[in-house]
Formats: sequence, C-alpha cells, structure tokens
Amino acid sequence: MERYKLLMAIPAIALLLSLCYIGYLAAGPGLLLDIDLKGGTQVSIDSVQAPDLANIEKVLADYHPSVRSARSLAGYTTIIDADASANTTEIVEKLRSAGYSFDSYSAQTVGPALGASFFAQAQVAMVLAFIFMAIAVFIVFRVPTPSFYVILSAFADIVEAFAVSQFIGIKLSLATFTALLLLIGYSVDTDILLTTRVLKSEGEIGRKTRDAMKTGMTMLAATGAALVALFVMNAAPTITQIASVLLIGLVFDVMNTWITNAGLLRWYIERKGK
Amino acid sequence: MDFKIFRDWRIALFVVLLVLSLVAIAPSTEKSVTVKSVSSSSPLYGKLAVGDTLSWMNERTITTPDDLLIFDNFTGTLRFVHNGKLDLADIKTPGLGIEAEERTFSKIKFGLDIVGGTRVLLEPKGNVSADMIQQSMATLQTRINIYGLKEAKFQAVDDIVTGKHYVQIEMTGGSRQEIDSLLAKQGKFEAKIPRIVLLTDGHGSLLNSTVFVANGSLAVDGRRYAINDTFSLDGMPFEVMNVSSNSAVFLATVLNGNDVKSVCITEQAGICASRVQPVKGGYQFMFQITVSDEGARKFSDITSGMRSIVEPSSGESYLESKIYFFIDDNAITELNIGSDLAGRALTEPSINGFRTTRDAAVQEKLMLQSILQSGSLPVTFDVTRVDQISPTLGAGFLKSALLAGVAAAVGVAAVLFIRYRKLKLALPVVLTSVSEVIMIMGVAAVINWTIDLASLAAVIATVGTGVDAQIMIIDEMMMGAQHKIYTTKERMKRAFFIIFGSASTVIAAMLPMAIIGIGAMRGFAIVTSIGVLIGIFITRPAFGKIAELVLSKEMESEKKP
Repeated sequence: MERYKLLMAIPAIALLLSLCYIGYLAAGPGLLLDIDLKGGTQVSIDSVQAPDLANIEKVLADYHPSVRSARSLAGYTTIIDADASANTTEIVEKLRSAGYSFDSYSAQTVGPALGASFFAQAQVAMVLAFIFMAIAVFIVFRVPTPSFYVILSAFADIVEAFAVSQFIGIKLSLATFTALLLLIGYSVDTDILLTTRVLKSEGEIGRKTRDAMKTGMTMLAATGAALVALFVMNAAPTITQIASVLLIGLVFDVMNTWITNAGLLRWYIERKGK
Repeated sequence: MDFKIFRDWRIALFVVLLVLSLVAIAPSTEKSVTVKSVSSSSPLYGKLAVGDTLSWMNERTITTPDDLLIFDNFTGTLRFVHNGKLDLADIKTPGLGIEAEERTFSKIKFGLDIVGGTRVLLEPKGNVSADMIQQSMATLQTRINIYGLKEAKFQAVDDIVTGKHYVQIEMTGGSRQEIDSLLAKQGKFEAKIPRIVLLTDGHGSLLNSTVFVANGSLAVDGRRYAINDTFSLDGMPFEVMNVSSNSAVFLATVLNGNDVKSVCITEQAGICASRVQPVKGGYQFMFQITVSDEGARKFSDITSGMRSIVEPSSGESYLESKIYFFIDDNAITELNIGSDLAGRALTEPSINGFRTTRDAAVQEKLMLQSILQSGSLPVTFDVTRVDQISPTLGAGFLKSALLAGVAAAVGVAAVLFIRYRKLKLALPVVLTSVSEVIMIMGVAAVINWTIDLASLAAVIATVGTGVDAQIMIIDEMMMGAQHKIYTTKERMKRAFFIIFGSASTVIAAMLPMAIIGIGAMRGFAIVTSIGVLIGIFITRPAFGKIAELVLSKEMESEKKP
C-alpha cells in the first residue's frame, strides 16, 4: 500500500474517536452546555486582583455554584454559574458582604425552557447550514466525488473541533456554536483551493498538491496569527471562546485538508487514470 | 473595451465606497446630548422628542448631560436649540423632566452587550397570536410615553423552530428595576366628555338636574360648586370646567376601566372587528370595543341632545364635544364623536380613525387599544431571560477589542512578510482588510445595524476569510508565473473561481441562521454575509488589481538580470 493511503488512517481514527466521544457524552454524562443553551444564572465580575475561587464557592455555597476565572488585559473576570432560580442581586450582595469589592458586574439569567429551545434551534441551524454548504460545493465543482471529499473534510473539522473543545472543558454556548459554524467557512476555503488546483490545472498531482499546500499553510498561518492575537488579548469571553474553538478547528483542518482530502483526491485521480 | 480601465474602475469603486463608509461612520465634532426620555409632565413634552439632539439652552452650550442640571430649578421662558432649531418653552414649575445622554462618538450603534444595559426576554403564557404580541409591545410603548419612563426598544422575536413568540425589551443603560417597573405599571383609564349647558336668564339643565348661575357662582340642584369641584349625578362623576353668564361646562366621566369590557385585538368574522384598510388618500383603522350597559347608558345620557357641527374639510358631522381619554388623570388623546351616536346606548361601539400612511394608522390603532385597556397587557408574560451588562465592562471592552484588532493585523502582516519577504505585498493585504472592516461598519451605520459582540465576531470571521482570499490571489499570480502556464487574466480568473466558490459556501452556511436564528446568532449570520459580499464584489477585485501591479513589476525586474 502506498504511503499516502496509510497516512489517511490517522484522520480516520481521529474522526472515529471524536464521534465516539461525542456519542458517549450525549448518551451518558451529557454535553457541556453553557447557560444560554441549558438555562441558569451567570454572574461575571471584573477585578484587578486574581479572585480566590475556592473562597467564592464557599461564600456562595447555598447556590451550588461553579466558579471559574479568565485573565484579560484589564485584570480578571470571574464567572459564577448557578441555577436559573438564583437571584443575581442576592449573589452580588453576598459577595460584597464577604469583603469582595467590585464596581461593575454583569448578570444573565436564562430560563431552562428557553435554553432548550435555543439549543434545538442551534441544532436545526447547524444541520441546515451543512446541507446548504454541501449543495453550494456540488454546484461549484459539479463533480460528485471530489465535492463529497470537500464536505467530508469540513464535517471532520467540525466534529473533531467540537469533541476536543468539549474534552478540554470549553462549554458549548451560542458563541462557541457560532465558531463551529464559522469553521465551515474556514475549512471549505482550503479544500476548494486544493480541489481547484488539482482538478483544474495541468501538471503532476504531487507538485500541484505541494503548491496548493504552500498557499494553504500561508492562509493558516495568517488566520492563526490573527486568532492567537484575539485569544491572547482576551477582549471579551465571547470572543476568546470563538477564537479558541476556531484555533482547535484550524489544527484539525491541516490534517483533514492535506492528508484526508489530498489523499482521497490523489486516489480518485489514480483510479480515474487507470 | 480596454481591460485595464475596467480593472482600474474597480479600484475607483473601492476608493469611493471606502470614503463613503468613512463619511457614514464619521464621528461628529460638534458636542451635544441626545434626549433619551421626555416625561409627560415635562414642560418640553410635545416640543422635544426622544432622539433629538440638544445643543444649547438659554445662552449655555450643552455638551454633557450634567449641563442640564443647572436648569433643574429654572422657571420662566426657556429657549433651547434642538436638532439645530430654536424653540421656546414656558416653565412654570421647576424641573425639565427630560433625560439625556452624551451623543455617541460615531454613528455606529453599539449593542447592549458593549454599551451596557438590561435586556429581558418575555415569554407569553399559553398560545398567543402575533397580534397579541404587537398589542403588548404597543402597550409597553404607551406606558413609556405616558409615564416618561426610560426609553426602551421592543422587538418581537419569533422562534421558527418551536413556533413560539417572544417580546424582547432592551434598555440601554437601564437596570432590571426599571424594566420591572415598566412591566408592573398599570393605569387608571377614564373617558370624559365635556357637556356645555346653555343658560337662559341664568337657568339651564344637566341630565335631570337644574343648573343655575348668578353673579358668576354656580349651583346644581341647589348645591353650590366652584370651578374644578366635582359632584355626581345618576352615578356619573362631573367636574366643573368653566362658568360664564350664558353657559356652564361640565366634564363628565362616561367610562372608566371597569366599563370597558373588552377591546377587539384580532379580527374574528362575526364576533368582533379590528382592521386597517386602504381608503382614498390613506388608511382607515377601526376596532370594536364592548362597553358595560352602565357605560353605554352614561354615554347616551351625556350625548343626548348635544349639538352637531360639520367639519368643513371632510364634510363629516360630529358632536360639538369630543371624547377625551385619560390615563391616571393625564389626558392622552381625544376622538370626535359621530353625530349619529348622540343619545344612543351602544354596548359595542367601534372606534375609527384615518392616517395617511399604513404604518401611522397601525400605530395609532395600537395606541388607542392599549389606552382603552388601561395600559394593561393583553397577555401574561414570564420573564424567561435577563441580561444585565455593566457599562464599564462595555467601555473597557471596546478598547481591548481595538487593541486585539491591531494585534491581529500586526500578526497577519508578520506572517505575510515572512512568506513573501515583500512589504509591498504584506501592507496592501493588511490595508485592504482594514478597509473591509471600515466598509462593513459603513454599511452597518447606513442600515442602522447595531454592532454587538456577535456582529464583531462576524467581522473577525469575514476579515479572516478575506486575508485567506488575498493570499490565494497572490499565490495564484506568482505560481502561475513560475510555471508559465497561464496568462495573467487566466490566473486571476482561477483565483476568483476559488474565492467565489468558498464565498458562496460561507453564505450558504449562514443562510439558515440568518432566517431562523434568534437574536445574536441571526446578527452574526447577517453581518458575515454582508462582509463576504463586500469582500467578493469590492475589496477582492481591487486587491487583485493591486497585486497584479505589484507583482508584474517584480517579475519584470526579476527577468532583467
């Protein structure tokens, strides 16, 4: 067997593992959802000093909160999650009387029913987006097999980025969901580049793939640089979340474009050549 | 046609649109404040509207809301400049009764998640029609107008997937308490009709009672009353309005909240009518209400025998008195009474009106309907989502977002410089992307789009794909040249095939979200689509031309040695 065919085993295993992991989460412990998709109360507090998370949890023990914090340019953001029934004013007052001082806070309460309806809507949007994207790809290339490869590699990008983000504890929210949708755009970019170069120009396939890869890697580096800047600057939790999911997705896109899609295309052309 | 001119024309288009965008979002140099609310008790009520800019008051330039504070105890004639026009108001009791905010730096509107404020999503209990949602929003808007509450933005939100309707309320800079008080406010409705009693030798009659006026003092059934005194006849409250030697005017309360049994909101054939229809020169609205027998009797008693007047312009005949609608003792609006209604006890009267535009007719109808319901909401709502965003978080956010943007641009430029070793290529890419951001903001300003976090994420997304597309253009040009396979035109065509291909997939992927997504997600999809369209039709073609110019020079100079 040729080397490139063997190499394709890696992305195949990655996709399989990711699907299994998502399946396991959905069947057992449940997906990690942020409050906008499952309902709940969230209070975010900005502070200059690093917050003492354990102590905040102790002060707010009545609410069974989960507390996390993020660094930002201006200082720290502490995010406190509790049930939808929790009163945000009470939480803030409790923290103040426990000696925490802060000027401003943001609070969000989402009813569980609304969260569930948002989640249902998000799922429908994702499925439709994928179908529409697939139709667009078929229209662009008008050749079924290579179009299918483009779609497969976008699918793999999204599934793998979602699995890994869940694994490292990034909750699915409207923001991260948006990032997954965005990934369709970024992923298809390089796949269309590759497919066009390979199918629509003369020359040896290895050279065409290498040329395309050079362009693709520059694109990746540029997008990556911008995303890393967004991630490091940490302007707002929403934007940081989007940036991190996209970064994970882009790493997988390298594999899925330049191993899966490139390999499959080469295989397809060799079969056609015979 | 000369190909080159055509391409140059693309650059011209790019430059023109860039300049237009800059104008569209340009920060204003003149400082002033924007009116956020005008209370109904304000001496400026009716003269100043929400959204007006206020720049000058009695020899003082108004640049911040604090400048209004010194007028808190002012009485007398107030001269003020709003929207560049001078106006006068006479202030009898101290207090301007207005709220203002500093005018925003540029014409771009930022969302609540950036500027801070409170957003609430209300879910109606039970199955509720879209009409009910419209009526509820009109009622809330009426409450704001009547009570001079802080201006809020209402939006009907439909969930296509589950078929649910919601009402979203946004109050910029508002608090949860302010929204709660808006939701809790309910007024006392009264409809009043003035009745003119003509006197002969000081004698006249009101209902079955005698009215007598001598030396300017009034007596009804032998009891003496002064102006503004109230009394009751046959269960109907009266207020003395005016007394002269030959007439006395009494204001009768013919209907109160309890008398209005129901207001028709949705037209149901054979049951009740509520509609807006086109007529000559505009639109007519009408809706039915159900009034208690007692209310119908009071109306009949007070209009019985009332004189009619013919309105010269329309030729319609009305009673000499109008009916005035009050909420919490504030007169809100008035209606003519058709002269054929005099003395009739109708329990299902209809209310009609005419406006020149459909929109105005619908608004007026909704306003009247909500007043007749005492400003009470036609449906019960549950607060299903609350977002409170502190404004300081918002302000700090913009600064860090800007920094992040600059850092991203520097990062991209560095990558491009490392790959191509040419500043002449790296800089145009970054500048084109910056122009793309400006153009998206320009479009946002023109279509009055609110830039929230999701929209900013969309801007990042499109700029990211934009940079990718520009790299594709450069590489297609350089590699095609290296392998000497294509002409410049062919190379550019191929680059654009890839760009159009990926752009159409992005738009296809965003389409479902733009249609079904609620709130933030929808905005994201729409802004991404706008950005992608600007990219493929304006900035990419222009960049293609620039890349062609830069690269062809490079290639020529490489050939020479």
